[in-house]
Order: sequence, then structure tokens, then C-alpha cells
Amino acid sequence: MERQVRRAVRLSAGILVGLGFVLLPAARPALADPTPSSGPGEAISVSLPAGVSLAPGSYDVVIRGDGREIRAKVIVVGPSSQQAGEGTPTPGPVQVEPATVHPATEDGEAGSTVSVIVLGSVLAVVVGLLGYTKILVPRRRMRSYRQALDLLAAGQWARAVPELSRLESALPTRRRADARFFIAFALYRLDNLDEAEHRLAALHREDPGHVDVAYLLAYILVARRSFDRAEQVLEMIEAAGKLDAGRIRRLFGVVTFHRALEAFRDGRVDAAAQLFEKVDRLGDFRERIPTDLRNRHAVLGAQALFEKDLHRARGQFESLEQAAQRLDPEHRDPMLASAKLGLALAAWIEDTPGSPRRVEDLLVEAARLVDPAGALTRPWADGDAADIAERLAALADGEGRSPEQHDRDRTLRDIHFLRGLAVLREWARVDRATAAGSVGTYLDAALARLACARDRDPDFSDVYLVVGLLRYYLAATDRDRAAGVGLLREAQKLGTRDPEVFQIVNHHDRLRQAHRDAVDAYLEVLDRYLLDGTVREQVRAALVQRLSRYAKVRGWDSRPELTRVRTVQPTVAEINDRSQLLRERVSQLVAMQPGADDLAAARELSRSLEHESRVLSEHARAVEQKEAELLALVGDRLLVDNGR
Amino acid sequence: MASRKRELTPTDCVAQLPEPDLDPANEMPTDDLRSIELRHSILAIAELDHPSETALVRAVVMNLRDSVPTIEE
Repeated sequence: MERQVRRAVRLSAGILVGLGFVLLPAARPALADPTPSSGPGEAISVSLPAGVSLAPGSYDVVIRGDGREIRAKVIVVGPSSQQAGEGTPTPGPVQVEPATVHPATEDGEAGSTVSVIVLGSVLAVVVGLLGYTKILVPRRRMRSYRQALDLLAAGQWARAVPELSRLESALPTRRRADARFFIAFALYRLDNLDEAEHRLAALHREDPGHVDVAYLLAYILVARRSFDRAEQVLEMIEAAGKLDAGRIRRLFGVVTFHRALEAFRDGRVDAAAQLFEKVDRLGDFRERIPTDLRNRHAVLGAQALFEKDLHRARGQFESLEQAAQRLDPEHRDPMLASAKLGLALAAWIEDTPGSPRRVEDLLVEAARLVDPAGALTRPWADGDAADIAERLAALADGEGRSPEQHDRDRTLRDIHFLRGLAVLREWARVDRATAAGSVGTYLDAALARLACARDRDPDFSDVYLVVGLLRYYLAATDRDRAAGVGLLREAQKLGTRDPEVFQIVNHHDRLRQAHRDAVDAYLEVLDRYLLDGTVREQVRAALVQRLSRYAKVRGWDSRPELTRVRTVQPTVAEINDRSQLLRERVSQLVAMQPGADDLAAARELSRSLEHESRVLSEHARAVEQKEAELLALVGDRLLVDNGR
Repeated sequence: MASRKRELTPTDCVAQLPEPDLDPANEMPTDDLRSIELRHSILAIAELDHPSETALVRAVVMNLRDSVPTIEE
């Protein structure tokens, strides 16, 4: 249809041009050679022969000459008319009014008239065709185009694509580019990524600065994980200074972040650092970049530390320090903290006599930069019920922490832990006299720093391991030692698998089991004693009262079987047997208690009881002998046989 | 006179697309990424682990008491 219309227009234009060539020369004499020097109505003087006069009036005349014949009208003006015009009557001049100019022949006149009619008709046709092609057709086409856009807006991608494809080539240039974009967009929505990408790539080549084309193309490339190509597309938009249009900056952030990850995976740490710096500059994903990856000096410094290249590491961290000074406080402090931390780690690795103090100073600076209000020391508290409750509450709070807070706490945990170990390193190095003379000072300093580490992460097993070992090895009493073992047990719960810890805890458990067995045996002995009717009631009651401060014995005085015991007078043998049995059981119990110096009194008392029992037996035997002697003497007296 | 409905533009189309974001499922695991981060590598760089920490405590005890108490098995 469109092609036919164009053909008709071209044909009309050809006819018009042809007619022009044919007709214009025919019309040329009349048009191109008009009567010189006189115009319509202009007065021409006519000389009449002598003696001839014309009365005023109108006369038809024919003027011949120069190959032409002109019909004109001659008007002779009367005296009155002239008088009215000029004021003075004069003999009337003759005026000639030119009439139609005709070719010299009749055929020429007829041809001119036909030509004008044909020309007019053709012009009318051409104007009509032009109106059709330039107004009506484009109007219909735009209506179809808008209907196709409505399909697009309604999400009817599959119907929109053929409509737009049909209209695309007939649209004006600007709309044609839009239509091609819409086709690509619809293809993308139809998941035809290959075709969509192909069309957008062509559009992008034609106009690399077109933001929407670049955005959709890069968007598709990101979906296909072709980040390097997406980066190239977006770099052109960046070069054109159009990054702030729409979401293009954000998309560039996504692409650059992935490029950085790719570089990191490939082991190109320097390139990764540069790309992360760019992500930081782009802004949208700044918070998603680990703090120390936002600056290449921090990344390269860390790499140098891993490689034990302290000179290079210090160079990087000093550069980081200088770079940080140029930033606003919000960005400066985290960077400065990283620089201090890096320098502290270099000092720790260097491990010279002055290192521990240098490490402490730099780590304190780093900690203050990370958390200006955070405590740098706090008293160590062994875990008891209250601490456990407090820790549970802290853990519950911790569950609501943001990832940033979690990161910050972990960093501070490690900083304080390293500070604590720096104290131990110094303590291990000083001369023995100083070390022994400053046990309290060093231990308190280490524990105060390790307590800060535990505050930041109550589940960090290393703190419990170090403090538990210190408390165990340096314990002055069983109670201190037990506290140390408790901490080591906590370390085990949190993941410590150290064999030394395993040994200590197992040893302690064996002792505890032995103690538990001894208690059970003791209670059995006690119970039997309290139910022994040969022991006086007052003695048993006093014993129960004395032991009732212990939970296991509390309330024994109200036991009905104890109150029902009927007291009998014991024999010496019973006393001795009872005493011997008690001493044997007690000796066994005492033997089960390791290192129990405070049981020396019990041993002494047992020996004394044995002596007393022996004495009692001897006294009993003496009593028996004396009883027998007495009976013998009285018998001798009473039983004398006087001969009877 | 009634105003004509605004024509759809390429900008309108791209605005319909979901906002670009980092895809956590396809990102590198955080631990891997942070293995090169200084503040997440403090203990690794300082070479502190349970054995080295235990050794440091024993060094302190040795300096104080000449020996570390043995544990009876």
C-alpha cells in the first residue's frame, strides 16, 4: 500500500514536470514578451491624418506590427471631460485602451487555454496526492503505532512485537529508533535475550550515549552474567556524563562489584581493590564492601602482612594513613583504624622486646577509632549464675545486631584479645624476679583486656582457653583451680579441642567423681552412726545439729527413724568395734581426697580415737581382772571350809 | 479540550524493570571475600590459634615457676 502511494506520487510529479516542459514554451510568448512601455489604461496618442476628426466616443481599433495584432478601443474625449480634468478646453486627443493581446493566429490562442486547464488539473491531483501521503497516511500510521504502544504498556509483548516490526520502517527517524527499542524491550520481556541483546547492541552502536538503550543492554548483560561487556557499555555512559540518569549508576555499581569479585577470584588483588574503590565512589553499594577493601592500600598492606613483608606492609599502611587524612571524618576514621591495625600487626610479627608496648599503643588507637566510647579495660568476672544470665541477655541483644555492628564487635574482640596476649608476651619475657614480683599486675592487665574481648563476643572460645589456663596454672587454692577448669570447660563447649585442655578437664572430672563417691560413703557412715543405739542420744543430736549447715544433712534431725532409736548401754567391745569400724571408713574417705592438707586434723583425731579405744579396752580388762580379784578375795573369805 | 494520553517512552519501559541489586546467592561467600580483609584477618596474621595461645600461657608459667605442672593421668 505504502509502496503504491509512493509510486503514485512519483508518477504525478513526473507528469507535472513533463507538462511543464511541453506547455511552458507555448505560453512563453504571451508570458515572456509583454507589451513594452505601456500598461493597461495608459493613454496612447494617435495621430489622425490631416482633416480627419473623430467625434467624442468609443472606437474599436486593430493595431498591427511586430508580428502581432492587438485589438484595442480608442476613446475620444470630449471638451467638457477634458475641462473637468485639466481646467482648460483643448481639441480632444485620442486615447487608446489596449485590449487582449493575441497571437498572430487563432490556433495559438486555443492552445494556451487548454494548457492552463491541464496544468490546473494536474496541480489539483498532485495536491490531493500530497495531502493523502503527507497527512492521511502518517496519521493512520501513528494511530497504529500508538495502539502498538498500548499493547506494550498492557504487557502484551507477543502482540506488540509484530505490530511494531511492521510499522518500524515507515516511522519518522526519531520514532523509528524508539520503535526498535520497544521491540527489543518486548523481546526481553518474552525472555528472548539473544534477539533483544542483538537489537540493543545495534542501537547502542548507532547511539552510544542513549541512556535507555545502554541501560537495557547492560541490564540484559548483567542477567546473562556478562559483566565485562556490561562494564564497557556503562563506561560509555559514564564518559558522556550521564550516570545520574535513572538507575544507571546503581546498575554500574552492581557491574563493578561483580567485576571486583571476578578479579579477586582470579587472584588479581590489586585490580580487585581498584574496582572496589570504584564501587565505593559510585555509592549505592558502599556499605556492601568490606571496610578494608574500599582502599587498595589496606588490601595490599594486608597481603604484605600475610607474606611477612613488613617493610612493604608498613609502606602501604603509612600511605593509607596519609590518604585517610584527606577524607571527611565519616570515611577517615575507619581507614585510619585500618592503618593503625596494620601497623600494630607489623609490630606483633616483628616481635622485638619493645613490640608488646608498641602493639598496645597502636591497638588502643585503632579501638578508639572503631568505637570511641568503648571500654578499653574492665574487671574479669568468672562465670556464675548472674554472669550467665547477663550473657544470655547479651546474646539475645546480639541477635538483633546489624551486620555492621557484628563486624565492628568482631574487630574489637580481636583487637582486645591481641592486646591481652601482648601483655602475656611481655610477661613471658621479663626477668623472673620481675615476673614473679608483678604477678598481680600482669595478670590483672591481661584479664582486663581479655574481658573486653569476651564482652564483644561471649562465644569466643580463645578467651576462655587463655584465661582458664592462666587461672588453672597460677591457682593458689583448689577454688581458684576449679574456676580455671570451669573456664576451660566453657572453652571446650565453644569448640576448643586442645589436648592440654582435654587432659586438665578430664583430670579434674576424675577428682570430682572421687569426691562425690567419698561424700556418698561418708553419708552412709554418718547415717549408720546416727542410727546406732549404742551412741548416746545427746551425742547424736549434737552431731546432726553441727552438720545441718550442709544441704545434704539439713533436716536429718527431723527424720522419724532417728528419733525412734532406743538407746542401749554399749559394752566396751561394742564401743571398740564401733570405733574401729568408724576409723577404717574415715581412713578410706581421707585417702580418697588428694592433696587434702586440711584433713590432717581428721587423721590425728582418728589416731587419738584408736588410742582411746585401746586404753578403754585395757581399762576394761583391768576392770575385769579387778572384778575377778575382788570376787576371789571375797570368796576366800566366805567360802573358807573350817573343817566342815 | 481533552488532553491526549501521554505516549509510552523508553524511559518508562526501563523504569518497569526491577531495581538492579547484588544477588546474594551468586556472590562470593562473605568469608572468602573477607579473607583478604585486614580487620577480619587479625588472628590469622598474628598467627594466633589454640596451640600458639596455649604455648604463650605456658611460657608465662615457665618464666614464673620454672616448670608447668604436669597433669596426672
